[in-house]
Amino acid sequence: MNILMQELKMGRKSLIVWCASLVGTFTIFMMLYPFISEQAATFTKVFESFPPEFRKAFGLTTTNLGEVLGYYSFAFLYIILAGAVQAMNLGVSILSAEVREKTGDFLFVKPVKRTKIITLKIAAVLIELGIINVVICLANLIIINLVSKDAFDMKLYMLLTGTLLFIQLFFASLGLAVSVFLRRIRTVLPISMGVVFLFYIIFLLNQTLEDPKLAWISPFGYFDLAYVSEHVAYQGKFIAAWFVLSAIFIFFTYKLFTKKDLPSI
Amino acid sequence: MNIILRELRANMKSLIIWSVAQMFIILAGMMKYVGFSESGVDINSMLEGYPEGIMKAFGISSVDITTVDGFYTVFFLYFMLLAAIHAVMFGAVIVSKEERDHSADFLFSKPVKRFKVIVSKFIAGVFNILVFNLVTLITSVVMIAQNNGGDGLLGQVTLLMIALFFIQLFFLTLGFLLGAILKTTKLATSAATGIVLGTFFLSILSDLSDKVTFLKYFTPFKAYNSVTVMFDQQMALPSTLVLITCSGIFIVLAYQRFYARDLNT
Repeated sequence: MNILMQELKMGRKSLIVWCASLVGTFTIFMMLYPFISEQAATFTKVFESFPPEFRKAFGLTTTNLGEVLGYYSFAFLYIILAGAVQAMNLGVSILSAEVREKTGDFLFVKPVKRTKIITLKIAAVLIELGIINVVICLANLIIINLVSKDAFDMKLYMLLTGTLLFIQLFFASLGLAVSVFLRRIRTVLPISMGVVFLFYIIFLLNQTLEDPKLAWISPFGYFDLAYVSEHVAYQGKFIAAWFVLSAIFIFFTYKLFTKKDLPSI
Repeated sequence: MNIILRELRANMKSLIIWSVAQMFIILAGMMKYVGFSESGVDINSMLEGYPEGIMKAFGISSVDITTVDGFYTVFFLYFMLLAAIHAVMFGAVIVSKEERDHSADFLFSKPVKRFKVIVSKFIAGVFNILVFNLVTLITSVVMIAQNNGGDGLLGQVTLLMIALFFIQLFFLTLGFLLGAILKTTKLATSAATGIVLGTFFLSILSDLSDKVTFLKYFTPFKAYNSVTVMFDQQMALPSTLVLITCSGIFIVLAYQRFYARDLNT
């Protein structure tokens, strides 16, 4: 329990900064919505006459930019991108920090099993991700209501916003697995930025022309906002893939970290 | 010389990983192109009927992505993203890592001026971004040649890579500055992450509406238009001058701050 409290205390400042910057970014995106919705009538007509391959090549899968949730699903992708960096960062740093900051000599000699340490640290990650998701869900709702008076489908809003949690959980568990796999991590951010953007670029590439094989590589594609908007549901096969992969990552984390030879000072 | 060699060796592994990631993207992208060109959508004739203003708003005025050179211009954004992350992280870490690893006591007590240390690190940085750039160039030309009847479009791709290099240089020197100003590696990489994400989002926003196109002057991701570089073989001279000037200012400031820095031992 002490470990959990300590982790939450240490992560508090960075969590606040992330929440504030994600909400800030989203606010800026939504401030442009009034301009877009004005032009939307023309855009929508033109886009609908384009062939689907062409629209996808330019990331214009959401043809209804004029509706508030259509624009939301466009803007929210960038929140997800930043949120993925945050989650991956959290996952990579939380276990490797003990070695990096040379506090491992202190923590791992305490009469606490390593499995318990891992569990408590994962719990800390889950709590932090939970907080940021609740904050974003509420803040976005307020901002949307401020910029648009139109009614929108609440279920679709929750589904769209929920993708952030799924993607963050995926990247957090991937980060944990990466952190126990590498011998020593000196700087966390280059790793998390590199991995997240690599997946993001693969996702962008796949939008050009849907390729069933490439779709499995990038978790951003598992929760494609365009698909969610269209069907008001997630894709079952990708939820399954998400669950299996995350579980494998967590399993590896326990398996490898309990046996890991930790360098001391 | 020793410092340069030492830095090159220390960064070799990460350079290889970054280069492989870049090659993977080009490879996957070109695979997509093959599928795309075979889908046989005649986009040109379809676009003729639409008003130019709408096309321009989405930056699709003059590019035919069913041809290999048109398709390749879409890649430039992905290259910029990966290269920017690589360069800015490299710069931020290389300046600040001696204090983090407690090797500053060792390095800065040697009879070598700080000026020489930072210049050596800068040369190592330029070498790294050059290698990344050349890997991109060679992979691109080889892959394009395979899909373009043996013509690798060497001239156009080289020009794009020169543009990419200026963006890399901008981010490398920015990383140096952040590393020199901020106290720890963690702070420097966090600031670098914020700047990369922020400027990337700005580049997305600036496309959205005519009223916010001015935003493009605040983001290096909009410095070049890959379509004009590729087809008109024109590199925007003002952008190039601004990027070079900024890089110069950053590196001078970084040196000044680094020179006066109270090294944490």
